[in-house]
Amino acid sequence: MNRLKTILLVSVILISQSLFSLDHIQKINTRLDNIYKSNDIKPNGRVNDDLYVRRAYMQIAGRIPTYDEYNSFINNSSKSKRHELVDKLVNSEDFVSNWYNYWADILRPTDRLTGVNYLVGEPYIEWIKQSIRSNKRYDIFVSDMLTSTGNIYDNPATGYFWKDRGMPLDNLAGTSEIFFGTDISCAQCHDDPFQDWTQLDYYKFAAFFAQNQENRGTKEEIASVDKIRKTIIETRKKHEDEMASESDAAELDDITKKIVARGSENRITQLLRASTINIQINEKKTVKLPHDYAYEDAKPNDVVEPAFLFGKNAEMQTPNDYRKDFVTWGTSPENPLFAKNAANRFWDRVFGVPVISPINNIPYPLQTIDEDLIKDLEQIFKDVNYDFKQFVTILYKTNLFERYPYTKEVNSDFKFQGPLLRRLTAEQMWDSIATLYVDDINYFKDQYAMDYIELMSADIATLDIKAAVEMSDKYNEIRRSKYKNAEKYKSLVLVRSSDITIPNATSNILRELGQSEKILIQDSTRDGSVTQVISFMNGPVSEMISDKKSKMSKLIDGKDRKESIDIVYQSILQRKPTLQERSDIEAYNIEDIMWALINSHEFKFN
Amino acid sequence: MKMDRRTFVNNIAKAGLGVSALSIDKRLAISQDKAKAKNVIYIYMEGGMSHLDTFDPKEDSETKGEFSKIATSADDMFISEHLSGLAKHGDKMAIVRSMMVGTGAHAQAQYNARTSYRPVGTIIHPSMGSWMSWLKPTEGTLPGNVIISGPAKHPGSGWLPKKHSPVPVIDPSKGLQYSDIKDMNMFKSRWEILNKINKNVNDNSTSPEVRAYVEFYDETMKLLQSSELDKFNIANEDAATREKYGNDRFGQGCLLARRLVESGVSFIELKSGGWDTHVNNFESLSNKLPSHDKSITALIEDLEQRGLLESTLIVIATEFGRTPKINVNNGRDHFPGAFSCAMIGAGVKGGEVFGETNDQGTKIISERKVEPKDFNATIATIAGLSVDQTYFSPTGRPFKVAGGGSPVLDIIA
Repeated sequence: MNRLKTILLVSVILISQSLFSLDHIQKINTRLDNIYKSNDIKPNGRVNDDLYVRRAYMQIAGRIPTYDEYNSFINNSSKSKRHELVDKLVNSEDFVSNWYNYWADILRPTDRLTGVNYLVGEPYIEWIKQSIRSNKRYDIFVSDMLTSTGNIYDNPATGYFWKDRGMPLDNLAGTSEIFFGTDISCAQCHDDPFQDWTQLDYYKFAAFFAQNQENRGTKEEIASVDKIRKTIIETRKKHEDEMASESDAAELDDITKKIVARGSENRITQLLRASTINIQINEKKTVKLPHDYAYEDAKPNDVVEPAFLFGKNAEMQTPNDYRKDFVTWGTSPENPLFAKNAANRFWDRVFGVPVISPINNIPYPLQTIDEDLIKDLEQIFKDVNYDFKQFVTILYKTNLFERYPYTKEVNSDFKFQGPLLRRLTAEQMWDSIATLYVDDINYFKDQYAMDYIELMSADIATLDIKAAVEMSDKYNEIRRSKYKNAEKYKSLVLVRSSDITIPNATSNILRELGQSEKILIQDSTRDGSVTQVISFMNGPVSEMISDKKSKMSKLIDGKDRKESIDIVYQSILQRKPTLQERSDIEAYNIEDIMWALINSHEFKFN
Repeated sequence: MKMDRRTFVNNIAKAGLGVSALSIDKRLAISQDKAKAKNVIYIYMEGGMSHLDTFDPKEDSETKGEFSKIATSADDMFISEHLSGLAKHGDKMAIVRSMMVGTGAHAQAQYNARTSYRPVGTIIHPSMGSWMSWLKPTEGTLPGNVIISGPAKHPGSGWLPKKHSPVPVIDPSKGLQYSDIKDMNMFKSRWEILNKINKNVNDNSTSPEVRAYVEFYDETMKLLQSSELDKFNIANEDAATREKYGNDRFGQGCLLARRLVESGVSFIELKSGGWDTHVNNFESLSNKLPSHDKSITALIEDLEQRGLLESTLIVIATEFGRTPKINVNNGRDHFPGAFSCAMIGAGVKGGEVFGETNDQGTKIISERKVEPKDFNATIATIAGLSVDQTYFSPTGRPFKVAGGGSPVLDIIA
């Protein structure tokens, strides 16, 4: 059974439009109005259509609008066009890409997920995207990962555990931080001096996941791989000399030739092993305290039983897989942190500042910008039954989303007068640049994950040597051809950042712009660096937009100068030049103006 | 939200450990009498440099290998015959022969060498150059922390702000990537438009993030137009000098390092690869060592001639040693139990050999074993960074420059 494939084939798009949405939007608007009133401050005004369309695309679609998209919004005379645009964008592939980037920063999927060669992250990546695309309920999205078993291709949600392979305690610290907004990493090694967690608590928490066990495969599979490995070694020994002579080599069949030419048995056997390795539940596995455990409440090497760390403790119902008890309690509406953490995180992503800080370690007593606001958000997320898309749609339709940005340092004066002015993320920046070059930013359809899943689903237990060699060839082919159909500019692969999984020139640019290395949770940065600025000013990105093949160049082809300048401004900054700017730039040529606009602070901030 | 986090850190710091996040002045308030080095050139031999064939030569027939030892300008300091250039400068050099590390895996040991910490899943620790850039910011247009021919995986600035990451020079003969401006007139006119478009933001923005960006663009533009950028271009050196350093990547990297030291770059890491000699150890080292010896010797002599060696510390480091036992492939395998590192120049007690291994080179027999964090604490002390001060990451976790290591005072002048 191949779960991902089934999901993909039955691709059902759920358009969630609850009758209660309007009430929820109103509730947030009223709450914010009360905050302004009680603090005696004026919120920022409502942005014009130019700024609105730029923000909506940037925050919902993860990129600037195209020239056509910009115009179609500006020329639309509907009174409710802003909310209509939100509805359009949240149901687009852009939305999937944008929120995938958010989760990628947190869950850190990469092409090589673990130390296991050929166990690649692409199925997991595709699974995350598909979960967003099908608007999987948030609690189910989380449970799917936390209770996953199987192979990476059979159940890609296992990527959550593969990512931290061999580091179950770090994985647990991640689970606590990501889904419960609580940083317990200190307690991994010692009682947390600043909070209530003890090292013993940490281990009790870890006991929920202690039954996870890595399994190399069935006896038959392991025997089959060993047999193939032996065959390869013997074949090589036997025919190595013949290969040295051209006439002798001609006598050999293709498979034999390939085996000998490849030189090592490792590539094929490692590929087969990646296909059989999986995560299973071993009921008998437990977690023990470390040998140097130093506190009085237990002894070193004691076996620890699972117990919840925050909120009420409950009876264990599923001792044969404690993880199920974990998610039952963890995702229940009674859990004090699950919905609160998610609401706070999504709000932060949309408006740039969380209601509770720090986002990864919700402090007690709560330090919030407004306690009622976070209560409202938590309740709304529960009321919509953890419907992620509906929840963020509500946020996108608030008055706050339409206000001028807040452009001062965030301190105690900040009460959500407007969304925070932020530098674009690395992904927003790259996707916006690419939007100016290719015709349709979502043109690239990545087949790699599906091809990989199909390839790895082979029945290894009955595989013969010929099929094994072919499987290895096929693997190399699908990996090599991943970007075969992608547009390129010099060495840059022009696909969305959410489709960049294999390191290349584009991933280097993304890293320079601050994309995370995907080792630590939320390690991306909006900081500048000298190399980043140099590369933007004088690297391939600086020349790409004015290249003759770019959409930007095609748009102004044959147009007079005034019109060209308008198009360039509207394409890059989503506005016309001011009168002052028109006269300022009069003496300069259009390529130089394009260069200046993509290097401008206005382009890089939203 | 940065402010809140900082407040949070301050609060826990005060509550827990009686220290607060410090201003730069306070960060530097340490004893400066040992702080002789303004600049550090950190030469990293990636893969695990064989101690027996370099700085800890032996006589034992089983483990000695194919090389002989030679005397140096310092009494009782012997090194490999392939390091004859360095031998002339034994009086300026200190060797630590009792280095050890807890792991024989490259990635972990390299991380440990560069950060003084073991890798963990929840935080990345800053490398020494980033600590230096953060604690002792340089003045002028050039960045304070540069890495030449660096590896793909490097801890970089860790939890410190990204601006303290080492600026990479991929190929020393090509200089800083994308810094070569083909048409300066065009570039200047572009810069003029940019300033006009940015004018409103430049003059009026109150957003700290925007202000930081404005500064970055200004600094980068200054750098791109500055004559200092020339320092990255070793083509400006005459042929004789380039030849003296050796016309290979490592030699040219040493030359670039000298140019950067001259212009005030405070920390330069120079990586050299290919020391993982599992196979044909002696053949490959008999090629590698003389060329590296030539380049490092040229660096020492050039710095000395320019009066810069008294303010520049040169470090030769690696992640672990290699097995005294020679394997079937005439190679040596990983050996974390004993290895050697060296220091030359500013702040170093020349002619000093610290620590000792047994006659076979299989075991440290001197009392004190020196871990990477202790070696880094020695570098930090010579460079004027406090190794006792606790600093807090944005997540509120406490760290020290050299991970709590103690400097090897015997080799500090």
